[in-house]
Amino acid sequence: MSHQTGITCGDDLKDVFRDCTTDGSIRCVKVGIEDETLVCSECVDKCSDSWKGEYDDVILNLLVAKQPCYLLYQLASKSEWLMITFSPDDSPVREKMLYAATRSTLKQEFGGGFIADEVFGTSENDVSYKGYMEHKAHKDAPPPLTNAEEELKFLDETESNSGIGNTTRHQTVQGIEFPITKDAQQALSDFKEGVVNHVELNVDLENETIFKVCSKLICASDLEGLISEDRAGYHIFNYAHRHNGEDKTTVFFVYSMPGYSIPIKARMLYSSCKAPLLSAIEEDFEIKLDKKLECDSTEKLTEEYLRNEAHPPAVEAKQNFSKPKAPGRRAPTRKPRGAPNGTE
Amino acid sequence: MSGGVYGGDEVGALVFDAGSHSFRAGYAGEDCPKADFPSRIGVEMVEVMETDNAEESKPDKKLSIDTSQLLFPKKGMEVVTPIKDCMIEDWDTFEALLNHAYKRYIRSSPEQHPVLMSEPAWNERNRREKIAELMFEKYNVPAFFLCKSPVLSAFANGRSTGVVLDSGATHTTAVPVHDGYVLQQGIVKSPLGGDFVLMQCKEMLQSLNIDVIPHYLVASKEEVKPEASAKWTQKKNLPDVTDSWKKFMINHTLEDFAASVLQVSDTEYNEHECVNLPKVPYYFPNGYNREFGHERLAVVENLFNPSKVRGAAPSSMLGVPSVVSSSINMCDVDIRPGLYSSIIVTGGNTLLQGFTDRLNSELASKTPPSMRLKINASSSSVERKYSPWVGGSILASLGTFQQMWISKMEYEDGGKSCVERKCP
Repeated sequence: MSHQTGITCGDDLKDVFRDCTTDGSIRCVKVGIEDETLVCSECVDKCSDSWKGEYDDVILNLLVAKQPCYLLYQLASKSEWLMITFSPDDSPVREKMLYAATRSTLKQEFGGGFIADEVFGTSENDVSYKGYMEHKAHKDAPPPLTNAEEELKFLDETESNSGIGNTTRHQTVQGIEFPITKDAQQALSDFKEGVVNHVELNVDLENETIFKVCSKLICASDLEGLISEDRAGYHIFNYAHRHNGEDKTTVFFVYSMPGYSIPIKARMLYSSCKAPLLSAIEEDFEIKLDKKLECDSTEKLTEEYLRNEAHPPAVEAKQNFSKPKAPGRRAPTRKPRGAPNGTE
Repeated sequence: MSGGVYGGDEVGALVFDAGSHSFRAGYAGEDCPKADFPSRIGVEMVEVMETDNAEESKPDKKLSIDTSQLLFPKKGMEVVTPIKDCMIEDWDTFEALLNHAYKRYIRSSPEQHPVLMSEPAWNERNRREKIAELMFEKYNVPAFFLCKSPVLSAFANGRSTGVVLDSGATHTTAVPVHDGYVLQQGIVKSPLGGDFVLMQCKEMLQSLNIDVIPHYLVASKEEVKPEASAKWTQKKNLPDVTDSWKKFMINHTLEDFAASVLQVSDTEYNEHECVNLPKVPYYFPNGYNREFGHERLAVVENLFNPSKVRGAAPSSMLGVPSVVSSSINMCDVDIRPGLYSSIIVTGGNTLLQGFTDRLNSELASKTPPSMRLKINASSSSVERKYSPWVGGSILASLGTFQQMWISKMEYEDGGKSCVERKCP
């Protein structure tokens, strides 16, 4: 305990305190210091159930000018008390000293757990109901943070709301959006209307555009042959087929990149044009791309492959991991007598 | 009101409060200290007399303690202080102060009175143990207690929670106290105190070409018109005094000047706004006199706004309001509202006219609007100057406080480490 006066409760006050927290009929206790003992100077019983209504009547009548005192006021229930320390500035310094240096002792004697709130006041205004409400507002006000703490708080908030995490993805390079030539636009419109089912687009490295190489009606087996081994390209193919007795169409987007045989500039531009092109196709031409594939020269886009991509074969249910046999020379677990033979 | 009862006998306890400027001592239960004398003392080196008997060697130091002795010019007398950074540094000198207090003011033997002493909030364990050792073993006090002075100040102002702003001679400190405990992490110290104000006075007077002549040099003087050069004669046959003593005397003169002339401006100092300030005449010891107008405010402004101090790096020192606000901000955020609503002002330096008003207005601008700011300053200058002593005096005079004392028996049983246990 800090430097306390050593003043303790008198026996009668201890009895009052016990009644306060068990009986509950006492509204307010005024505690004073007389002859270096804490004594109960006044005790006010409850008049009604509303602590708010009685507050000013009870408290303000108990105050004496130029005389510090402690007031314990019952709030909503008998285990919630308000401790008021009243210490007018114009009271004798000795009194102020005694009351200030005995406060923790009183709190301890009464039971700190019963004290829901504490008010310190130097004038009637401080301890009146209005003053108590101001005290509460002061207490509930946002904590006074320093500038540095405000900044930290701000950082905390922005960081936790910015959606950066393991699960979120952010593109670092947005990609470059080359204009799509009229030709190519026409081809894509035709594709959407079903006039053609295959369009190949290429990037014009010189003019920085995306142009149409060819657009025609093909069958699935032809696709493989259309993908060139010498140049990169974007292929859009509408794969119509039957699956499980139903007619289906799957739109494939194939980005073919044969590999290191292609100059670096082409590799760079094809890859960075892909994302803007995809969004252009999906948003501007409203062509829904079901599957997006990337392939290099080693991969063969056979019909089989497309079918598997469109309808991945159901993966066989994996067998549960079977428990290996315990190591060592452990004897097989003995079966309880009369039990039926279990599986080994 | 006499002291409390201890061990069945009514024995007045003693309260000592050693500051860097003055040493306060007196009986517990009294309203103000019996003794308040400078804690600086004069030391003269006296040549050791050659005697035949080696055991009978005389002390080689002659000490001059207390105002009347200290202010008398003596050859080769150096002024020293036992207290540095508010802590006892030179134990021999400190002992001399204690001896003087006992002999001259208490006039009773130390064995009969328990002693309560104040200590700075940042005192160190070895120093606390040493002071207990000194009191018990050298002075044979029957009981002893150490109390942190900010706690005593707070209690004496009727608060158990609050920030204690203590502006003394060497330092201005803010110490947060919560439920009677000092929060060590929130202690903020600034070297801007009374001595700093004196230094600023000196600079200001120098810039006005005013020589500060201490009393001891003046033999006679004539009345002169304001701002006319002084007509005075210097005393003859003055002994050869040391620089430290000269400085002490000049400061002594400046203290009077500071107390009667200086004023703290209500808002940030602005020379043009202060032309209408009432002028205050001041007579220097050599008869020179003039009226001081805006200088009255300019000198103290640096206490609040140290960025204007000449030769100081900006933001190297904290002004008084920043000391308080940074101390509060170093405490846990939950207790800050309680600290804002009870700021306790104490220390001799705060008696400068307008100090609390200025502090109030500066802090109001630094305080978040949701916080209730309240500054407590006792209106009586005795309480303001001696608040730790007054607090200690009341505490020590209580009969119930006897269970708190470290008794001599306890000290003998437990050794000096019981100080840490009994006096948190």
